[in-house]
Amino acid sequence: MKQNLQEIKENIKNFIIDSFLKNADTKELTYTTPLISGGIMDSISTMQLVNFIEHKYNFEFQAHEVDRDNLDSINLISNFIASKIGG
Amino acid sequence: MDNTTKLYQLLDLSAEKFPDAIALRFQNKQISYKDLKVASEKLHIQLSAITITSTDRVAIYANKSIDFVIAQFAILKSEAAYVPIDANAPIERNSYIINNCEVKALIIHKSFYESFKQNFTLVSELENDLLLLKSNKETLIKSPPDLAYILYTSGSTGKPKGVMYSHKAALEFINWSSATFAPTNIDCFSSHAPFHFDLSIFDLFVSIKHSAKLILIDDQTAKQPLLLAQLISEQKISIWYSTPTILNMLTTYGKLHKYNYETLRLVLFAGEVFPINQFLNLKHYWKKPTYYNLYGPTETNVCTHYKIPDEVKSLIAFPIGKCCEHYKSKILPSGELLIGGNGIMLNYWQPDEKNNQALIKDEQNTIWYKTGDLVEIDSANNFIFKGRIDRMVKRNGYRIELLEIEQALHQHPEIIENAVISGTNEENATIITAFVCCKSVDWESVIKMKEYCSKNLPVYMIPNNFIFIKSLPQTASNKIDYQQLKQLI
Repeated sequence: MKQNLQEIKENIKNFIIDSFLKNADTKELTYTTPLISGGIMDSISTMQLVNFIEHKYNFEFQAHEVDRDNLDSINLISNFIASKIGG
Repeated sequence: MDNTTKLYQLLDLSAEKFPDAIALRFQNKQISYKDLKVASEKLHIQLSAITITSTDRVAIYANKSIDFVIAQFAILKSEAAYVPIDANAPIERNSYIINNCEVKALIIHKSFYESFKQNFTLVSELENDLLLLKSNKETLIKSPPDLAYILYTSGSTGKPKGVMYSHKAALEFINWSSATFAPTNIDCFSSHAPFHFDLSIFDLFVSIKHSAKLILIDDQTAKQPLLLAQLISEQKISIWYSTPTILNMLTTYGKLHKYNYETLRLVLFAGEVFPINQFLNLKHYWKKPTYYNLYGPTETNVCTHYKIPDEVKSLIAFPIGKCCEHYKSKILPSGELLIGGNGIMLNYWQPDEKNNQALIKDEQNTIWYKTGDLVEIDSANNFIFKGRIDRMVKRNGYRIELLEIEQALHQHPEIIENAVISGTNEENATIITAFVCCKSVDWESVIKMKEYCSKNLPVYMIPNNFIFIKSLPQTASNKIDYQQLKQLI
């Protein structure tokens, strides 16, 4: 199933706000906000996000793909998902 | 039977007995016992050339690698003390530690060199991008006799404090581990904990004492369960030691069903409570190993142990068990656990008055450490952990003084006042919440706060939640009312 890239970004953004940014103003989080290097996600929250993506988009991460290069911003995450599901 | 009095002798003996056996493996590199000894002796000569002796400290500021271990043994061979630095922590915190313990030399990765150019002189370039630097300071404090290493931990004054360990005390623990777990040269140990964390003492020195193989796990793999699950199986690890947080991450996210773990025979965990339901999930995948719950602050290393029975019948948290054979224990009327014996730290580095109260000498000259942990005894004579007497908390096995977080936030120019509290979530994980009063609403941003903390605190100290309030509630005696803050979350 093809997913619009914009839709993926919004899904990921909503998950991050609901899960890791309690009490945050949602406008603060942009598609380029650093997530791991900015202290928003630690190793456990990163795995929670990976788990969410695997279920939502129905593919499995290879062990080496769980990496800052693919996960440090909403843009990076969404592009990675799109490359996996052919969006 | 055992004449070992210095930690480096453990390597010497293994190099003599099993020169060609693999001592360490890291990513695609490995080194034999003979080569590890030769490399550390070569570096030891360079340290001697800059007059490193038994009264000095030498810090190692690099990520985990074979060279890190070479440096540790070279420093020990010089009879100086090594100070392992957390290469992932903010550089300001690390500079504080390096200044605080007045190191005479620094073995540092090139990428961190810039910040130390002023106070250190470059002596030589070592292998794999490490540099040897010497302090420009002429007179330095002398170490107490027999000092082997200093591990820095979160301090109740808001600054990290150094826990000084002697060779003698470290060997007490290492020899206890030998007797309790009976490792052999066919064992393959994990080195999951970073070298600045006291769990590493077991990994490194017990494996080397028994001429076993030690698998060094790099910092990235260490916190990534998919890679970790693969590594434990592929490297055929037989003795695993980590915090429960890591074991739970492995079970929840590591896809353990994909791999074979038949070599795993012993799984040790320490540093925090392991909720039973999480333990049972792990045991579903790892049925064969013997499990131990180990307990002990950095100041004592492991001081109580509990072997998990084959069948876990109740859902009540595991006891921390009985006192280790090289220790004595007693409980104060307040419920606080005291540990006495030769295995405890020498003292804190440059202790203040409050630090000094942690150690007590009794009439028989036994030194006791006041753990600050409250315990009870169950019907089987095991200690049960009940909580803390102070504001120290554990998160992912790391101890955190909440004051250290408050002080870091206090340094922020836009923060008027702040208070930090901790609680637990439904999975029993520690959740840290910071209450912050800012000068202007522009700074009332969770993202800005987390970003600031990620630059000024180790990752494990970054609060989970930030709550912005106009002013902090106070008690009748004008102190921060932490109880009332707890009601606000």
